[in-house]
Amino acid sequence: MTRKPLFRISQWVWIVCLFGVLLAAAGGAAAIQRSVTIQAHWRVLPYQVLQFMNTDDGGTSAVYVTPEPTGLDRERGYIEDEYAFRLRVISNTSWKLQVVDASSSSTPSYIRRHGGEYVALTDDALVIASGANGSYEVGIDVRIKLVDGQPAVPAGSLNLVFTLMSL
Amino acid sequence: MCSVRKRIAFRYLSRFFFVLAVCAAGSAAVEAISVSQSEIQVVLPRGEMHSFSFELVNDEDQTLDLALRIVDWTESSDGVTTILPVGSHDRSLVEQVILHDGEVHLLPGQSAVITIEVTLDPRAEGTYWAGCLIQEMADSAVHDETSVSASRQLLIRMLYTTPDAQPSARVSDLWVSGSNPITVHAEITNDGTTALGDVACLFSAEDTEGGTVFESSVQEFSLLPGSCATVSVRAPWTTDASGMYLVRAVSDFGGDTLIAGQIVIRLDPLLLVPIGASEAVPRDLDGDGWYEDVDGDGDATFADVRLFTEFIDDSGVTGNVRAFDFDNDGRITISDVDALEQTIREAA
Repeated sequence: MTRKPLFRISQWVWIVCLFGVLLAAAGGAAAIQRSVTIQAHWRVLPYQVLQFMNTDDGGTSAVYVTPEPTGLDRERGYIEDEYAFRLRVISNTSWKLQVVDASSSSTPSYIRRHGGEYVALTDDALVIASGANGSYEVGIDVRIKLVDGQPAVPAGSLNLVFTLMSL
Repeated sequence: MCSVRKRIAFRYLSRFFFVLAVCAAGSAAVEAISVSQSEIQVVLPRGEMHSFSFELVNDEDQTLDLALRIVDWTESSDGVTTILPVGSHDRSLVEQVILHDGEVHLLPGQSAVITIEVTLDPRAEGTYWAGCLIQEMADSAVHDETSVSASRQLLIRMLYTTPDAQPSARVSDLWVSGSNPITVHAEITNDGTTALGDVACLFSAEDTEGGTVFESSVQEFSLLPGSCATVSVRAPWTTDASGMYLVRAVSDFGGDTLIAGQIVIRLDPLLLVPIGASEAVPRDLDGDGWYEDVDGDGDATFADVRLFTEFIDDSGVTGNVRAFDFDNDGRITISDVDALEQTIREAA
């Protein structure tokens, strides 16, 4: 003869739930009694991180090899490469990223933050991106003039220097 | 004792957040130079030494060679920072800074602590500044193909101010430009010896009855001694607006008082008349404030461009600059013809 269970399964579930709720309420009440209000002040120093997201295997500097000019490139007189470089900036304070052409090449090339307007690269620094605190990916587009159908950049002569600093 | 504990706790907290950020960068991708401090601003009594350290982390998978040097820098009114030869300005801090490490060789995952000491000259007055430039040594490998190489730098700006320095600034100019929209500009000049941080500027305009037409503030900015910055806001007046307005720029530069500049501008109502042999007055078909339908026939076409070109010096055009200033430079010139043609071409 089998004994009839004291409670059915569904009743056990209800009992366990009720017990849990009571336990949580009791814990909460105890926590309220024990809580105190404190004020903590600290200042976090500004820090910055700058990374290339596509680095050439040959070294620590990013190197972008210009592609062979297409028919369209020859017609319009320049090679345009979107996202020639991708940089990541992490900063806990307002920041700006400047770029300068350290090679002072005679034929101007053009640069822009992806989506912005092209500006001529010179040995004078220009602000290419800036922002508030946070993490940003900065895509850099490069436009190189063609002279006689070839890029007007002698091998290895265009050297961009990106400088990250507080705004 | 308590302040020493606080300072130690603060240093550990700062490093904790820095390491947290570096970890976040590392989890997203590799190849990063990280610096635990990007700017330092200190009030330092003359003759006392201040020492601070920052950490450089190589989070890349290859060795990193970094060159460190103390440089002079300045900032132009459009916000570009330029590295200068040492001693280029009379508030240079370079001679008063000692940098202990000129070159750092970091293996992958390695970090280095760099210490800098600063002692202000006993005759110092106001703010002196310099920067620690951290340069990635350029890759000297020669690439056969035509290539563009890029390297990185970080600039830690250091500004030291004597305790008794008093900030001073003025609104050195206030003007408007453009026709549609009209932009209001203010030039703020730091004419004191102290660097100003978090300079705020509020623009407002009132009509002749004292009612506020608009108020607009700009993002806070900083100003080195002797430098100026131009800040601008877009005014809400449309081409149809007219009347006299008092435009004011009020700036809080951190001194005991606020500084302000004001101008009165007068917007004349449009008095449109038929241009040339047209039978109707010019019309603004899309409500953008420009009267592209120069002949008033209800369509903006190349016939309007031809008519506008022919009668560009006509009083019906020059007397209504705001209606026909298609390139928004505040004047009627041949470039307005180009701008109108471009607008009609795009609409077609």
